[in-house]
Amino acid sequence: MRHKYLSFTMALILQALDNGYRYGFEIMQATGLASGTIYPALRRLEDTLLIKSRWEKQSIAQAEQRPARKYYEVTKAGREVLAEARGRFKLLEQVSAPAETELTPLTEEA
Amino acid sequence: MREHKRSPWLWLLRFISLIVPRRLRADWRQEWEAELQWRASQLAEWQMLNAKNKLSLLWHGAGAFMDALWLQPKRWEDELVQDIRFAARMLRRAPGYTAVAVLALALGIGVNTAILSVVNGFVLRPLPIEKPAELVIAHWGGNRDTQVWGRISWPNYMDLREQNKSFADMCAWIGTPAAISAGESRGAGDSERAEVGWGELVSGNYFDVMGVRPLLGRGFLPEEGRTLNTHPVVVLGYSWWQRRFQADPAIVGKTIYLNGQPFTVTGVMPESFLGSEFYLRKAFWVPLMMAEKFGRGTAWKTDRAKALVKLYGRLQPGLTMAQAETDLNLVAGGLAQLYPRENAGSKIQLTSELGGRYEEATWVLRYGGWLALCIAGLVLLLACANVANLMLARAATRAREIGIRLAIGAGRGRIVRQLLTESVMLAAVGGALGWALAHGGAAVIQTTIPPVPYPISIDFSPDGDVLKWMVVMSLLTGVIFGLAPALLASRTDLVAVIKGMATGRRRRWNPRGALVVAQVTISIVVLICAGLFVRSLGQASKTDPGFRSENLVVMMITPGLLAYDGEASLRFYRELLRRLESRPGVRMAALATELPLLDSRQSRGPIVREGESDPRPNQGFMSECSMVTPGYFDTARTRLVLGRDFTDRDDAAAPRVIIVNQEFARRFYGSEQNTLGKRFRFAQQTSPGDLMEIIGIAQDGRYKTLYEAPQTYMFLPVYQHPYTDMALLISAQSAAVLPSVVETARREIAQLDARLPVGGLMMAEENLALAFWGPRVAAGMASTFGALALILATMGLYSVMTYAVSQRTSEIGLRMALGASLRDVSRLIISQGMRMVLIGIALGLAGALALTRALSGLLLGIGATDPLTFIGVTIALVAIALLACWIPARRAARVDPLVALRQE
Repeated sequence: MRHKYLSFTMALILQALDNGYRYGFEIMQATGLASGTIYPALRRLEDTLLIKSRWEKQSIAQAEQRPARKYYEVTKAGREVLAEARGRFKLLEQVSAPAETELTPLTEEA
Repeated sequence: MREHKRSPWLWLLRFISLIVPRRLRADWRQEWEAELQWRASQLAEWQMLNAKNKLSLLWHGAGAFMDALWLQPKRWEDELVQDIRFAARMLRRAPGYTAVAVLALALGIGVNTAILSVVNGFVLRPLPIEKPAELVIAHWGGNRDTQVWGRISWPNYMDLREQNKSFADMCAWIGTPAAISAGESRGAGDSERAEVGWGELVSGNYFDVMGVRPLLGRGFLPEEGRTLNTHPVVVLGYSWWQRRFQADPAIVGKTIYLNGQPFTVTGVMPESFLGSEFYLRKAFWVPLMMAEKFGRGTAWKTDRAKALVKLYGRLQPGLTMAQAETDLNLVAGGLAQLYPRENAGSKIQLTSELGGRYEEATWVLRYGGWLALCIAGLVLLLACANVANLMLARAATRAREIGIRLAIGAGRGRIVRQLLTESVMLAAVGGALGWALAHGGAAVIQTTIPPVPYPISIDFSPDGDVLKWMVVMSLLTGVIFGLAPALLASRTDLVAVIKGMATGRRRRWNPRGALVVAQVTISIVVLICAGLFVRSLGQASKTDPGFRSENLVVMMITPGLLAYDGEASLRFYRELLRRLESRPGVRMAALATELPLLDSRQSRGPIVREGESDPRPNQGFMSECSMVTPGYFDTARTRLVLGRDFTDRDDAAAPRVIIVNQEFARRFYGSEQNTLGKRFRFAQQTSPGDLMEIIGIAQDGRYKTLYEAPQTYMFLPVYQHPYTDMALLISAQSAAVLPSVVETARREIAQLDARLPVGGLMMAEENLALAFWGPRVAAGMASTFGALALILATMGLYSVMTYAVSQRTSEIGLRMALGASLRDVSRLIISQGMRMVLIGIALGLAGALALTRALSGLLLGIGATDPLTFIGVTIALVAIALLACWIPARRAARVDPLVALRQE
């Protein structure tokens, strides 16, 4: 499946991850896709070893008294596939703003 | 933060997480809850946790459902792998139980697969050609002779082929024997001697329509199939090429001799191609235009009334058989109008090759095949009951383990699924073993095919289709015998089990006992069938076939292939008989056109008694007959009840005479005394010289099969009714001289005409082999089934009795302590066992009475409710069951009461 071409949705999600959005929720907001789309896509990407997942540090979570979140990173293979997908989907090149700050409430309301 | 614990989206997640595979559930929940909680706390921080945002969080939570759905396949395969590994471990831990179960299943599945491959070989396996399903047979039925149903005349074939709009192409063929030799037979050297082979005369496009390519060389060119006697070419069959021409790779282009005429070999067919008939391996194919060299003359090419060939064809793509049939019948109707004399009332019926085959296979084969499958299915059910019983016993010992699993949260469905996996695994292993057994079984059945003078070639070995059926059957078997025990086992009483008490779950009926009753019922039915078939074989041996086969040698002589006509053949035969009778070792010799019990086919008629007038067309009575030389009755030892045999003086110049059998006499003249001296004729032969006088009455016999109803039969003197191809019968002085008699006969024939091939040699019992094949195979198979059934049922009964005894050990100890004697205890156990057996026997007898009706057509000389068989089988089964109950009972009685009591 690694040789199978990515669909646009998967490429979008992969691009968002590459840009630095790591948590499921952030990807949701960055791409505008529904949670029911994103999480299965993340699982599929993880199955094909294009991304890998990790739990955030327990100390951080405990400090904030909430469960540890899972975050995702793009692997080297994922970066290659993404490069190929960018060649096909010209639109992806426009989605390249790196995540610098956390999303603010303003984006939510809009 | 604590209030979020009661948030609606958390409840939603909890709810959805139920369908997430257990292994992934914790992580999954944490991931989702973490995300939603984080978002919620973020919003709360910004004081934006209003109703709208809460709703959107809930909405996001609903997306978890899609995620959970996506994870489902993982659960199935996850748990399946778990189940399989656990099942394998459990089965390994109880090797005895596993071995017995696998063996029982292997026997049941193996037997079924063997029967299935036999039926497959006959009825289901398609011809080894390209797209065999498309091949269609056209039967041409006239208003006259039903014996040529299926054959069509050449001019009609040509017209059909040209005028139809529904066939891609049609071809014509007809089977023919021929004397084949590599060189022209000059001397009497064995290597030059011709051998009789079976082949086909075919139209020029035959190989194209059949869709088969030659292994060597080529098929036929169009011009070779157009004009009479211009292109003597031949294509050889693989096995003939191997055997008689030593697989000569340079055979193409060489000349071989068919019926003494030179033919050029143009190609060799591959091994898989048999010919037009699925059960006969043809040796050669020759263009129909050369038919004259095979004794057919040339009139057939233009005579529209002479039905000669059979038709195969391929439909055009997209057309159904019904449409093609209508089209052909339109053409036939047109032909009937143009040629009313020959074609009036003719119509065409189409069948697929497979469908036609089913019709042609004799009734006994078809019916017997399906019947065997049913009985084999019963044996499989028996094996299933056995294994189900074993599983129930096992489940009882595993009650503790199951109880614990239930206690820690395994669902009942999970337990059932796991137990089913075990049973399917057992069935799979049993099936694999059964596959090997089936190969052996099919091979055994293949060896029982008797020697017949035709090149029969049916492959009974299991192939891919049979494998598919076997896999399905194994899986179904696993589910069938596993389901009930699994369901029963998973209903364990948790408290009782964990406390270590016996699984004393009281049911109104004992499932294991019910299974034993079922087993006994099935075995009685199978054993009765076996008994009936064995007795039938015994009766068959006692049936008088109307001749004696001891010291009898039979060979087929076919001078017709060498273009002898009737007169020349008779001269040849007279001389041959004269020479043979003076040779040492020969008691008597004679010739006949039909051999009894070898599917006699000649018939004449309709019979018209002296003084009566011809019956109306299509009415009147035909009788089977054979043409014989004088001395036939003494040679074959067929008794002449009244009157005399033919003599050499009953030749063409003398008045016509005839000998009939007792049934004929009874039918036409009331009694045998009445018949002698009476005269009759065949319809449409109205000159006074055609009246034949009955000079002798022969004993009744069997002429076609052992199963037939009494038939009329006539013996005509061949010197008055010339015939070319006949069978030579020699009655030898003793069994010891049989081989030398065969040699003598061959020598004499060769001395008279060295080119003449001799075939179809059968000695003594071989003459009866074909007729007895049916009863023998039936008895053999039924006995095998019966033995299997008996073994399985006894095993089942024994294991249940042993278990019952072990359950009641403490009770027995108590009884013995209170003064019960050994005999009392034994009687107690035995009566418990025999109660089940007797119920089973009663049910089984009732079932057998109802079901054996189906066998009545296949039984010889006994009825389907033969009391001897029923009673005999019952007694045998009761005796064996008593033994199976008695052994555990004895063991129970030897229990030390103190030990037994202490077990409480």
